[in-house]
Amino acid sequence: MIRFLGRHWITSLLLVCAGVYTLAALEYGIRVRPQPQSGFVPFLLGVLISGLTGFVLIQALLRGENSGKEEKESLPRGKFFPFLLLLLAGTACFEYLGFCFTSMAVIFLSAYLMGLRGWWKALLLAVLATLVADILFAGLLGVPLPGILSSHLLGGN
Amino acid sequence: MFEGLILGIQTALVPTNLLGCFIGCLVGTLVGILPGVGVSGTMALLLPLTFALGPTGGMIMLAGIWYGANYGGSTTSILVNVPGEATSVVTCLDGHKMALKGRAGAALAIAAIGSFVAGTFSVVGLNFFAPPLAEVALAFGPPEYFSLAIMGLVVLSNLSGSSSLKSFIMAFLGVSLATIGMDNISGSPRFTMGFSSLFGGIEFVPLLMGVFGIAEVIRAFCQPPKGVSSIIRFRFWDLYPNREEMRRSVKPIIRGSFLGFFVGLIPGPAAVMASFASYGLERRVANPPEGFGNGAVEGLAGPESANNSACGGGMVPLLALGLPFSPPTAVLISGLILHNVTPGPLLMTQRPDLFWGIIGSMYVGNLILLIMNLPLVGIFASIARVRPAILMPLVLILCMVGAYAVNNSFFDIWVMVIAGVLGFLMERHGYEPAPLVLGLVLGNMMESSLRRSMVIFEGDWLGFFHRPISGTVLILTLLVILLPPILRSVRQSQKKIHQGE
Repeated sequence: MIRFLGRHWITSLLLVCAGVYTLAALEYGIRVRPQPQSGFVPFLLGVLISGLTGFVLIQALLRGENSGKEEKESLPRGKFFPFLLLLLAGTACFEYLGFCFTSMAVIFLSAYLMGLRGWWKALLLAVLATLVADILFAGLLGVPLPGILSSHLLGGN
Repeated sequence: MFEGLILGIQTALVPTNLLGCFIGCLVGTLVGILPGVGVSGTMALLLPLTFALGPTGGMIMLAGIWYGANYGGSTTSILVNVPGEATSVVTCLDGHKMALKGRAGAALAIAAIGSFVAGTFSVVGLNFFAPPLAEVALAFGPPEYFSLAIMGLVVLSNLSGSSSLKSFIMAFLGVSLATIGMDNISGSPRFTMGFSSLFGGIEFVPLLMGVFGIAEVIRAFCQPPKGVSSIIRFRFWDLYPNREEMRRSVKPIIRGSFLGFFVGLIPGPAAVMASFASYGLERRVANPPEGFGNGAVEGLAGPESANNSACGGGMVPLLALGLPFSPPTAVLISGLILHNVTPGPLLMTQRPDLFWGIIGSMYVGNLILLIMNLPLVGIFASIARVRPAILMPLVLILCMVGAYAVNNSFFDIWVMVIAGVLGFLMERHGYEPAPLVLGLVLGNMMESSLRRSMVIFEGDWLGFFHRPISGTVLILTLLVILLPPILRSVRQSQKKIHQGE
């Protein structure tokens, strides 16, 4: 059973989330008359999602899906985890270290990880793309990006 | 109507709007050419740019990306045998074969002319259908809107992905995500888990960028898209189809234009369905159909026209009812909301410049695409050689900046990242993102319509069936849900009987 749920972990996770959502909806009230309360629609949705996910799981169980396909696809391999790490670190750095540093680091590392031959090509791409994005978003569109270069280069704020 | 159209073309020709149209067509063509870069993701990515162009210019640009992608998709399908978009898969069958036979220029020209004729035809159709429908829709109440939204979600879920059940789950998940934040009717916060950033609800734009943009980048990381090795060369003066090719492509273009427009009205991946349906139709009409798959002009002209015409059809429910029935139209509606423009039947009277401007820009855009695509086709084709290792890091950083730019909020970047990772993982398990996005976009409207309807009907669910429009729409929706499994079981039982005999 645990192996089965592990193979269908996304559906199982959805079922758990839908269950929690349904229970939380009860807190907001689900009465329909005289007018529907805040929890009415979420409760309906929660029940629907729980029912459908449960049905998908039962269907899979009855079919006896023991093919290796689902198992193989349950978690991606290869560069997924390094990329996930890069994505999470990049998002955290964006807030604390600013746009320029993060952008250059993320572009450099992701280009390198994707197999761009020659570290200098990745570096050139990182610098140029960051500069263009900086000028486009901060300079032209006025987006207040944290830690930008154009404010220093163009003498703005 | 013609006054509106003149206003639309005048609006489209305002320099800012013309610039938006040009950018949209150019970016759309590039998106169509580059495999692994999706239309909806790019539209979401460029949403912040609409602030610089204003609501009308911004929407014109976004619409340009959508229909421009269909033009671009044919280029790589014909010259490289790599479809840039799903809509151009069918084009590979005969378009590339024509190119291999030395008729690459003619194939590109027929695809461009067919796309132009169909695009223009669909705009004429949009011109005739959208305004009367918008006037009729003024009489719609909450029950009608709820029924139409339900039908849109159900039909889309039935048509997208490998499993309708999983698509339904995604659609309902999208609607439930829309319930997070301030309740529109009572004004009290729901499901915010103490995060003040969730009081305003989950923003569409970061979520769209996540499920279409970030997920695409992750996919490219895990499994890089097929690179382009060789491109078939041709000369500019080869871009003239001969008389026989032109004669054979006229009827398929007309049939594809009609078929595409009406398929475009159906919720779901209309452009893809239209191109496949048109190919099937042309095969059936052809006498004999042997040439198909071997470079038949009809097999190229019909589907290329149909997928372009479907865009115009898809704009009808968006402009007339304010209901998006496909991911690109969901992005368009997000753009309207972002600019504080209320989509719906009142758009035509409250913002005629915007309503007619989008329609007018599609005429102008089709002309721009024709002019741009024929002479520059060689350059566009060589762009297909840009490696994912260069392209994807740029998409990634643009997504991050784009998500931040909407509200200048770091929280939105986290929403985007989480949506991207979950979207990627869910898609691997057969959960398509399109119904989720549509559910999120339609969610607020659906909830308030349902709650208002329940007040009108005093809690009686059957009230929906007492009103002619909502009743009919709901019955049709039930048929869409129930008919396929019934037909399947009937077919299976018939098969068993035959086997028994």
